[in-house]
Amino acid sequence: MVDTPLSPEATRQLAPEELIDVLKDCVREVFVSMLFSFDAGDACEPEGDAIAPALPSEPAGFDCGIEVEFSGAVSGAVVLRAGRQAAEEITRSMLMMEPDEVLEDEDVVDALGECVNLVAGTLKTRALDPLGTFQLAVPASLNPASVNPALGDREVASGRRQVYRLSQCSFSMEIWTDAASAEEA
Amino acid sequence: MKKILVVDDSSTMRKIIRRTLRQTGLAFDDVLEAENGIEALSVLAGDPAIRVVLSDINMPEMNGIELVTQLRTQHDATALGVVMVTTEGGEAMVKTAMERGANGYVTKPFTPDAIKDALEVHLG
Ligand SMILES: [Mg+2]
Repeated sequence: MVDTPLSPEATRQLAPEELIDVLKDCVREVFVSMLFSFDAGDACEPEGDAIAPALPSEPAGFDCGIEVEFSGAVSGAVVLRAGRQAAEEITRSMLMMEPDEVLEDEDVVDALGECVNLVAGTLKTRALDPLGTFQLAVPASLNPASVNPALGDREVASGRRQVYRLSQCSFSMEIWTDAASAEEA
Repeated sequence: MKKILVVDDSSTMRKIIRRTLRQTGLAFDDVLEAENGIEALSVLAGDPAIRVVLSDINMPEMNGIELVTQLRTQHDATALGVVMVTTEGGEAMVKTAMERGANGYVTKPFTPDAIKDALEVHLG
């Protein structure tokens, strides 16, 4: 998709350790503008520093995972993981639901998917588009049995995870790139 | 009658756009929804009161670029407004959408003012 090889500088900018800072800005922007019913400033306060999780690993209890894959000079995925409580809080906020309104599972999956889609789209505009042609896939649920982002059948090379604290619970945002693109780099 | 068609594969985003439309203070009679380009074409075929389409780009079945391309074979840009509402903010995508016949382009996350500015001319 990219006619000219990426410069070493561009390759560096596509590494997860560089992208995580952009991702954090994107999370903040999306939460401030698109999550409505809680104090979004608090909601996207990072808890601690971003880490490089070993695979396979999953923050305890974060059994709900949604990813949006990107492909281009480097392929990878933006992933949101949350436990049930955080997933519901984010959904209720996006949909501005009253506390007594019943939440369907499909609402949760769709809202989290759109949340990741917004974050990934913002990241693509800021960090990927200036470096080449990239495409985003539609949001997909991660198979609970496999904690890796799908990334087709390719091996995941490296990733960064940032945990965020909500009032009573937390969720994480991650960025991964696949092994093939790392080797090319 | 002035109707708006919201096309997005996310039900969450369709709800957010509906709510944003109410916040703009613009005058319209109804908001219709479709999940993808194919569904949008069939809703449009059955309802001549639709003045403007707000369409996502990244959708399964038929994406927003294919939709606007198809629409411009049937409706000219003064009769039916098409505004892309998308996370795809890159220059190349904006250029492609405008070349295919979009009247406007709003990137997500958006503000009510951005939606209002893009729609005003089509609902006047
Ligand atoms: Mg979409």
